[in-house]
Amino acid sequence: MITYSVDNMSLIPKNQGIYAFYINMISPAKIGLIGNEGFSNDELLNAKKLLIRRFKKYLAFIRSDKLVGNLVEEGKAEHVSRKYSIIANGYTSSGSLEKMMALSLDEIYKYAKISELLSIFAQPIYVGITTNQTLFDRYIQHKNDFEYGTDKPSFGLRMRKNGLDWDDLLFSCVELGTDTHNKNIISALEKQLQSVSMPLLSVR
Amino acid sequence: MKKISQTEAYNFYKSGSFGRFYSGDSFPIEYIQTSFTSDELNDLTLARDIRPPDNIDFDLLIQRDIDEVRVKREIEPYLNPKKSLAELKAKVIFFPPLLAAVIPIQDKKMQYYYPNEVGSQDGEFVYREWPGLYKLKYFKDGGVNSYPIETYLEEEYVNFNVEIEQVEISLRLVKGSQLGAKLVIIDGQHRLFTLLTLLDKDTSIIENLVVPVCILMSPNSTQNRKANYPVEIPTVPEVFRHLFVDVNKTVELVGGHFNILLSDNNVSSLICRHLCDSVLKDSTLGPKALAVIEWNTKTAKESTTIQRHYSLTSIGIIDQALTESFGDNKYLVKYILNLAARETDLYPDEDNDIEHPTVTWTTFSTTQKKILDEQIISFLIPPLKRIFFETAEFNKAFCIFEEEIEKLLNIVKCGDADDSIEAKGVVNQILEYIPIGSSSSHDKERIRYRKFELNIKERREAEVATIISYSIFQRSMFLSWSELLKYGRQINISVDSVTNGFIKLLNIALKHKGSIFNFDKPYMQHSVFDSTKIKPKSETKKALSSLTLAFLGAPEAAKLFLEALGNGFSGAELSELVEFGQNKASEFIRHYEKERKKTFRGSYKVDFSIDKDDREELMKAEEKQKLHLREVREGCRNKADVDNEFDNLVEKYAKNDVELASKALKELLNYNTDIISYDVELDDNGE
Repeated sequence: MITYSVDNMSLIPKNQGIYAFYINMISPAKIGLIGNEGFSNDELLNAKKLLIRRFKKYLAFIRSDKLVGNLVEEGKAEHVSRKYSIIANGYTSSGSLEKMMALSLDEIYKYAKISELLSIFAQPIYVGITTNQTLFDRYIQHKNDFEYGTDKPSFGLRMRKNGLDWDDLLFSCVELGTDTHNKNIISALEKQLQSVSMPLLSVR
Repeated sequence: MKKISQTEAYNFYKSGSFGRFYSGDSFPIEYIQTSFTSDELNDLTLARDIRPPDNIDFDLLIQRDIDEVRVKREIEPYLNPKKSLAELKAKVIFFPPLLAAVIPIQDKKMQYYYPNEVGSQDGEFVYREWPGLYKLKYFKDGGVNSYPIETYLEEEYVNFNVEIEQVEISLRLVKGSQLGAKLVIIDGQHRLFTLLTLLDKDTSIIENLVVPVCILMSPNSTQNRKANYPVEIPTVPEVFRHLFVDVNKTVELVGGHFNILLSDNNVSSLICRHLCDSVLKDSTLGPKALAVIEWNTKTAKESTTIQRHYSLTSIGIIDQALTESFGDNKYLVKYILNLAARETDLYPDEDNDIEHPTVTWTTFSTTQKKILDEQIISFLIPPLKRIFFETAEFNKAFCIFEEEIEKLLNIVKCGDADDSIEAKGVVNQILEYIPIGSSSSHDKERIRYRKFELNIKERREAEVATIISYSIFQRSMFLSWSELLKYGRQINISVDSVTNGFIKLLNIALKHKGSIFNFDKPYMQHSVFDSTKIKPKSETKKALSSLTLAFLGAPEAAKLFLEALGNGFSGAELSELVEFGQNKASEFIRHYEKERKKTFRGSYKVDFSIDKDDREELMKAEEKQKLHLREVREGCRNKADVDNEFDNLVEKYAKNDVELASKALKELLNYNTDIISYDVELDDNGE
């Protein structure tokens, strides 16, 4: 599937469609390894530190969800049942980090390079549709919300509040021609996608 | 035996009112408002007089610049007008206070920090001392008008209430190589220069003059604070450079390039300053190379064009070009400066209640600025130097300058006495920035200087592509470079490698003395040139950039570019790049078409190469269209019903020229395919 980033966003289709944003936190450039050879040990050591730091930030982000609800004792009438309000915060374990920490300096560049290709293997963080806008226009709208938006709730604002940068995102989409451009269909498809992928920053 | 105290080492004393200036958490400046007699004016120092004996530092080079023309033309006549006695007696004159900064000097070099503050008290007095530099003496005061101060006393900061109307400052004004202070003028150096010149000429005019002076101190710029504070403490030169720019920004004195070079508020200013500094320090470039980068133009208007025939470029052009091409794209800035590698320094994990703003072109903290400085020096300055000194045409122009200045230096060394003096004056103006004197005794130097410039002008016209001297072309170069850097970011190639490719591309585009950019080429008229005059518009810059990048549309040129990246490439990558180049050619021809139609609309009535009947047909159609548009504005016609016959006729007449331009361009670019006219790219905001 074709993905788009800030570098090639002008190629995003000028058509309606369904789209998703993915997190792309790790790549050689994002850990300071620009170019493909001749990195010093210091640069690789720094890159490894950045790799771990960025991965921790990523994990913290995807486990930043919070569940709120009530528990009620089963089998008793309402007035005699015990009730609990529960708040559960997501958290991460360090298990996945251990393997990363064990990587040798020689492996860091390659690891980051492959990791970059795997971004869309993870769940999308936002799924949306466009009906009265092109996919390109919607991307720009989200980007502007992120960069210049006020405190009005938006995907861009939620990105900002989570300490992510716009170039930490990949955009992917499916164009829908005019024959499939039926509001009911794509609205249902959006709900279907959201319910199976549980995108963290989609709120409705 | 009595120990010689620091106090006894002080040699200059003044009393005055003390103050502390700050806002919220800003870095504080303290001051003593006092006055100097005309005799004492010699204790003040002009920035240009603290130049170190070796390794001239660019920071000092820019602060020492004095516009002597302005002094003679404006300030001196203000103090010493040639008027009748009656007129003189009615004249009222006044200078606002001079601002003099306490600058630490050791071994004749400016120091970055003050010594650590030490406090003491003695009966009714409190002392704050930066040992060996200066000392403040306050009366203790518990009254209602007392002012709270803090000083470092016996290993902790202690508060005192003091009187601020009468405070004594003792300074050790430096002599020789020991540590001491200089009172360096950061505002009013032209006023001081004038006063000193007048005193030199005729003491009687201002003999009993007393000048208001405000002595400024940066008490927190100390090593101790630097070591113990979580945020970066600005150095003394940084603090006063800030003030120098702030106080001078709104007046004519500091203008043009100086506002760029002395500012710390945007990435472009940092780049320009480091570029000049690096060129000056570069053993293969040095002062001769700095001389061909204009950095001391005084007026804003002249600062964005090249003023001297021997110059390669100007800081004003570079600043404008960088801001246009990179200022709005923080992601590209992140890449070109490899800010990702410094993420932990720019945005530390620990909070400490200190905000670390997202770095943009105009937003960064003092701590982040330090890191930006380092990244700029490592990643951006080398490619920038290469663009201006390695690209073939710029290199040719620089070699011409080097050859001609060498001839002058030879005369200085080996010529007869008169010749040598004249040549020295010219060399001083060009390489040392010491203007040739304005009196008639320097006439011969001026003539020699003019000859030098003329000679270079003629050689450059004969040997070098003229297009490189246009500021709009240089701005287009940066736009092209930024486009290629976006490509480099996508495939994760270093800025240096992209610059290799870019230089290769420029060399291809500018071969044969840049003839493809000549005004006599059919596609260059209307689009870039109006007759022989270049159109200095933003659209022209984009068009020139498209034209440069269009060379990549020829597979041979694209291959050379990709090879220069040194990364290997696939057939698909080559095709993609060729398509990119051909799209740029299309954009250029589209621009040509728009501009051609525009000029046709404005000139067809007097274009006698068009038949009279045809011109009348055009006029009739234009009238009809205007009438319809008026009716649309008045609400009595739909926009869709506006007659478009005039547009069609313009299209018809312009078509021939567009085809001709397109054909000529295709041949010169070595394309196998036709160039069609259409817009391809959208900008980052989708416009």
